[in-house]
Amino acid sequence: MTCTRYENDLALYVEHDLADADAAAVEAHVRECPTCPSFLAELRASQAQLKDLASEEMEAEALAAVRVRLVVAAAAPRPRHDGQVPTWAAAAALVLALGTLLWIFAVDRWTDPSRTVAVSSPPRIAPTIPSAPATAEPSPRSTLPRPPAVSPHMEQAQVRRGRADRPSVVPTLSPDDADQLARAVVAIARVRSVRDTQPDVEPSPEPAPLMRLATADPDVVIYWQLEPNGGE
Amino acid sequence: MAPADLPDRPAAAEGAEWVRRARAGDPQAFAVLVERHERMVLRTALRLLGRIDLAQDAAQDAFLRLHRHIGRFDESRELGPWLYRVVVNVCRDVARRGHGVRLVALEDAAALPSPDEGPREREDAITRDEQRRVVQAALLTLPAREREAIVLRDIEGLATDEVARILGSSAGTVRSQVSTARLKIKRYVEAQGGTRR
Repeated sequence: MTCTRYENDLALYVEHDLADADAAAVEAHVRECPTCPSFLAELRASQAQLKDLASEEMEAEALAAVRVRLVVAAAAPRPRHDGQVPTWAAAAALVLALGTLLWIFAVDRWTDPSRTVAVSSPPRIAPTIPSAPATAEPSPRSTLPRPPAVSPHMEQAQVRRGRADRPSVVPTLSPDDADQLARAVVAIARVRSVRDTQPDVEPSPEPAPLMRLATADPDVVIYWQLEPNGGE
Repeated sequence: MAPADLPDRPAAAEGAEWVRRARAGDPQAFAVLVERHERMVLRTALRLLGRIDLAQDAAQDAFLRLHRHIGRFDESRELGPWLYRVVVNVCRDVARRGHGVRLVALEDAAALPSPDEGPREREDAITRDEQRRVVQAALLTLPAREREAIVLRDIEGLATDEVARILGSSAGTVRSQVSTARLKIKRYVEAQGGTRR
């Protein structure tokens, strides 16, 4: 039981959301009221519980998945409507970004029950982009960073694909946007790589997490088996 | 300063410099912006949507919008409030598309069977993770506008005026929404077995 007319004020008072005069009035009431002190204590407890959500760490895999989704969304194939030929930039962006991310996470396989694509160093992602060159050629005006070397452990990959007769595709973003975004992700990868070279990292005894990546194409879902120890 | 050393919540001046460089087409600067804001963006989306997969979709959309609009962004403004507004709008879109943001009726929560133990034993039995799940569920019982207001005010720790600007509302409205939301969460948490003191 509490003073109903004070509930809203108490809910503001508990987080210092009342003006000084109003707060003083609430304090005066609480000093006299037999029930409001316990109500206020309960409010403080539930507020502490609520605000504790802010201290919950976002998992590294969840953050990494967002970065990968950015790349996939930037260069993801979409059904072709205007007959334009995909440019080098989209292909380069996807190759660079996925190559980089493969390097970051030391991915050693993508699972797919239906189709297997052998991957050697550097990785060939071209099959995901019809009309894209097998190896992306740098543009004369491009300053794209070179993709990192691929771990020798990444000798095989399986890429899940949809129907072989899927329509031709074009990127969602403009080539320049895809290019810039991919370079941004490469830069993130470099930041991460610096962090990941800390010497005192113990190998995780936990099983390698499986990352599920949705793409713009509902028929294409990529599964990555992550190795916390970098695949060594 | 190395980007990896930057705090989760950047100082305004440093943030403006990264924005300026990103606007000029520096991809590493854009990467830094993503790096510095990704936790905030994902955390806020998770609190608003309640599911990590939907929150990841929202975070992706938010950063794509940032990338699309960074060239027109006024670098004299802080990026944080703008990103909060984008996240809120993206989450509204996600919820509008009906991706199963499950709302729990407050009455249903109150009707849940109580454990046999007394209040003290129940409190002890609730772990921190369980408490977080309970509070997250409580957030999902709230109407969207109350949820947005309390997530920004109490979890993200923004000032009431700032929350009002982000939500395109008034400070008075935000105070009312936050007050109501705090009381609802208190009731929900107590119905679920109490709070940790």
